[in-house]
Amino acid sequence: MPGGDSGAGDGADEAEDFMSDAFLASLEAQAAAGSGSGSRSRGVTTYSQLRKQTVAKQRERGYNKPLQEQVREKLDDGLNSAIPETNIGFQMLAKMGYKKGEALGASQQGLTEPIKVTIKSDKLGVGVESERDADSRKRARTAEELARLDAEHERARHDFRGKMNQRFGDRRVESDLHKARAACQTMDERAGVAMHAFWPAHVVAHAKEAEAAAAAAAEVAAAAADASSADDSYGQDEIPGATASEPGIHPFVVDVEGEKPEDGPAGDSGHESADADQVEPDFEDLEKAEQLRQVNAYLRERYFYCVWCGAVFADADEMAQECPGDTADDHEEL
Amino acid sequence: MSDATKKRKRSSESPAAPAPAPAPAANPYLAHMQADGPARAVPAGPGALKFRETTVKQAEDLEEGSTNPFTGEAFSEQYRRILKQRRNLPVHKQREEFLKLMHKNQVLVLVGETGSGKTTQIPQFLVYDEQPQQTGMMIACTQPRRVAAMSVAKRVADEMDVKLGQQVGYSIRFEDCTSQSTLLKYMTDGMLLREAMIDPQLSRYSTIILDEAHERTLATDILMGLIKRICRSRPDLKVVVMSATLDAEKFQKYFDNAPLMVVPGRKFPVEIYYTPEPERDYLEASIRTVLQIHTCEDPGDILLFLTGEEEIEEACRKIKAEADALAASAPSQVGDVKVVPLYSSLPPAQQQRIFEDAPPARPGRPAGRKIVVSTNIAETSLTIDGIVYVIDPGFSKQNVYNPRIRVSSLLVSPISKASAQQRAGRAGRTRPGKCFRLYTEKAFMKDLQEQTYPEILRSELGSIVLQLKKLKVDDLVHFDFMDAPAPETMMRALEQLNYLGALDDEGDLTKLGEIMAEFPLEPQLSKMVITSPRFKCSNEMVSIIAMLSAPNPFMRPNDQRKQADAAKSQFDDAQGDHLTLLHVYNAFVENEESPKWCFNNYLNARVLKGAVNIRRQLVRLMNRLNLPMVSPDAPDGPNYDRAIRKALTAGNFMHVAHLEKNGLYLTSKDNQVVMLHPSCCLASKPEWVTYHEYVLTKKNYVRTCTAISPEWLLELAPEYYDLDNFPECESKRVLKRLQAKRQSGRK
Repeated sequence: MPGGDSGAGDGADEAEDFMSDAFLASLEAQAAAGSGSGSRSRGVTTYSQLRKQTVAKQRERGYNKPLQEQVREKLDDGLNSAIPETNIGFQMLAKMGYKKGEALGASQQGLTEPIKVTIKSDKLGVGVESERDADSRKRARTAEELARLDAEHERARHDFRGKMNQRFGDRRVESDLHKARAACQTMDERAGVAMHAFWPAHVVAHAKEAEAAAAAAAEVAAAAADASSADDSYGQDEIPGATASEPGIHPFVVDVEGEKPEDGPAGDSGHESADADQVEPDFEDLEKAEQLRQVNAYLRERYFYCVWCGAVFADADEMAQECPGDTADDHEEL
Repeated sequence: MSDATKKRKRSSESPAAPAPAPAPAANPYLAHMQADGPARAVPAGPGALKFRETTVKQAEDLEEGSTNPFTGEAFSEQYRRILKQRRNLPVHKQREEFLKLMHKNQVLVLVGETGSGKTTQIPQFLVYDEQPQQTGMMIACTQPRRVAAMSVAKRVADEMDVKLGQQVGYSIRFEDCTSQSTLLKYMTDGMLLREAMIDPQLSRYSTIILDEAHERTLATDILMGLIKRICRSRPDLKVVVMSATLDAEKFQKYFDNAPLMVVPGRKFPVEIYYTPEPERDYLEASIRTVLQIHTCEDPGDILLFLTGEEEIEEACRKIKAEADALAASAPSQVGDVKVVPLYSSLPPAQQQRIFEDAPPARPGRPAGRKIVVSTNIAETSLTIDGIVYVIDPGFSKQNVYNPRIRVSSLLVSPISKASAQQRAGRAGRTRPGKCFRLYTEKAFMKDLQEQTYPEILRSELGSIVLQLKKLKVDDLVHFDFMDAPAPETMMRALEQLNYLGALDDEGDLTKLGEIMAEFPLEPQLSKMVITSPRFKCSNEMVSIIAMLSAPNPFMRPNDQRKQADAAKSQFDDAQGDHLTLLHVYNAFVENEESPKWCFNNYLNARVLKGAVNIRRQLVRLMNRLNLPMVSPDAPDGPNYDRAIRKALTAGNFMHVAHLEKNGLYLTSKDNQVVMLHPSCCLASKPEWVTYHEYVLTKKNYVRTCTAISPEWLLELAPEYYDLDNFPECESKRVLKRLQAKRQSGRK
């Protein structure tokens, strides 16, 4: 960024460079002149020393601390200084037999010091302070525990960040998946495919229900043929288990164990159609990211369609040239 | 040694006795000074009654007779009615036990909780037992508070069917309502202490009752020390120490294991509730608890203890608003409330509101409730009937003197366990009650001290030391204090009296000290009065001191502050508050002490009447001590206020603050930052001021301030302002320059 450099340069022109030799030299001269014959100023070079000197000077000139602070200081001073032995009252009492440090009374059981003055300026109830003192004592004893708590906090903060990232990512995956499945339905329909598990979930579920209601044994063969024809189109390793046993939709078996995505949230797999088909691991039971990957792969292979480009390419070559890749991240840079 | 019974007739001496009584008939409180022949001692033929050998039967026969044995007149209907009530008091059942103990012992400690009737009955038992009209010696009963002394005396006069001020009277500072025929005298403990200065053996009394000893007022503590000494030289003197709490052991021990008599009170059980957790905000918690009680608990009035005026007013406002809102939202479940504040600076008429009834239940609605929000005056000094619920947040404002910087602090601090018990007890006066403590049981056990510090540990001791010195107590180090004060507090008192010239360097009373001790005033005020004739302003000074001795005369209702301040400004004097007080006093007298005039000018007529009375007493004292009452030659001249301010400085030179260059006042020597109190009338900030009091609250204020000249300090108090012996500070430099100028001027 070229603008940044010039800005820094301007700043140096406006305010002096505090570390420049010229400035330091001038300071030294000032200090020497200011304190006249004083030898204290010799060797003053650092800023903090200069600052201390300024404060001391302000104090000499009668610089005022905040009123409240001054009042408090004087009060504490006064309350903490006992009456000195030079005081005439002390001497008079001494003449009656008083000795420093003793108490008065026939059996000398009285107070030795005046009653303490404590200024209460809050509305804290009785026992709050002592409770707090006790707490702090307790806490002091377990400094280790405190360190552990700190570490826990730190971890929690990390976890939180991770979780938030994940949540944000999930949302993006979901919206991409939604788009991809819709595109899949449109393209399949255009291509004459009757039904596909990749189509939007509600469409699939609806079709399943209709099928279960009409137990059409006669249609089995036709449907199987239809299915097997569709099956040819995507015989890939990742989706190995497409069988012809189920009518109407593309059934397939996924090795979930092997396919588990690293960052997929464990609790996110439950959804509306899960109870519609509990026996076999269903497409709907997969991680969203995996679903997206599969649908996407299907669309790219079969229709040269990229969800993120939002475009159908002429062939695999054109796709390889124009489309930056098969993940959302690949498209980010554009 | 002195067989007191030999002293037949009380001499009519009293502090004011030799003064020429000017129109005594005009003042009923001076009745004792009238030389109206012998007292009406009535023989009444109690020949069978022997001094301190009477029986309950004898006394009861007399009480039930037809003529009053003390006046010779027939008993009234009212007397008989009251007598029936008296016989029902718990203490009456133990009359015989009491007499036996009294006959056998010199000192008796009597514990009776509130409602036992001890304050009114015990002195009467003694009157029948001792027949003071024959011995010529009185029975004294001390009270810590003036109001209590007056009201109890009135009640007992009614019970004995005599006129107040005759056989039964009272004596409080600046007011003596007794006569030659007085047998039983209620008095403040401070008054008995003053009498001891004139009559060190207290020979006018055959029995002394120290009531409310558990309150441990300064005067009661000193009296106990004195009485313990007198008991040794006067075996005929009997003493009853009465306490309302069960910590009587300390008193028994102090009086060489005196026997104890316990009178049960009329008390109902009180359930105590603690909070499970400490409260973050006790004020908010208090309000919440009030509302909870109001909505959930059975009918019965609530008493909430808070710390001060501001807090109480705030709580009252909030409780009223929230309770009204609740009542409006659920009229069939929540009744009306009457929220009443109570604190000592509240005008008397408004204080009376605590005795009003709770609001009546409206048809179809729950009973109304009275909610009293009070400082700790409702803890001991005032009893409000009908209280069933007490809320105790555990705080009160405590007055503590600190000798190191010579300041009285009035700060919020946790109460003691004893105080918490006392508060709880307030819930069980009329029926079983509940007390809600807004702290945990653990905090009660751990964070609250056992007893509240007795006053002697919390007070400035200047006038007490002066009185003790007058009583020939020379060794203040080994005096038998029940609780001995901090040595530094004693040092300050000695120092002050030394600089004022009342004590010499050896600690012995000087001539001036003797005179100062005569005045029932703080030493610096006595000094001002005594030196004022020198400045030709004793008339004015006595008025000012009278005003300083009375409570604050300026009324400032919350809703009329502006008008009140405007009214006060008419009296303002550019030179300071002391002179403002003088103008108020003079205006009051010029307006013939008219209450209406007071009302229109936001002044408290009762307080001002009190000041007039105090002044009268002071003038009498001045006359007796041959101190001339004079005024400046030219009352309108420029030197008029100068003379007064100078006379003020003569006594008050230790209460001086200097304005520093940075705009802050520092107290002399202690160098504490202080501010002029907002009520101060000084428009500009004079470089030097003298103040009446320095009080540490959340802010450091000096009150009642007047401008003075630093030259007077050097002139009138050269010992105190000895600059060779003065802490380094700006005021020292200023004074040094001034001193140099004075010296060169003299040369």
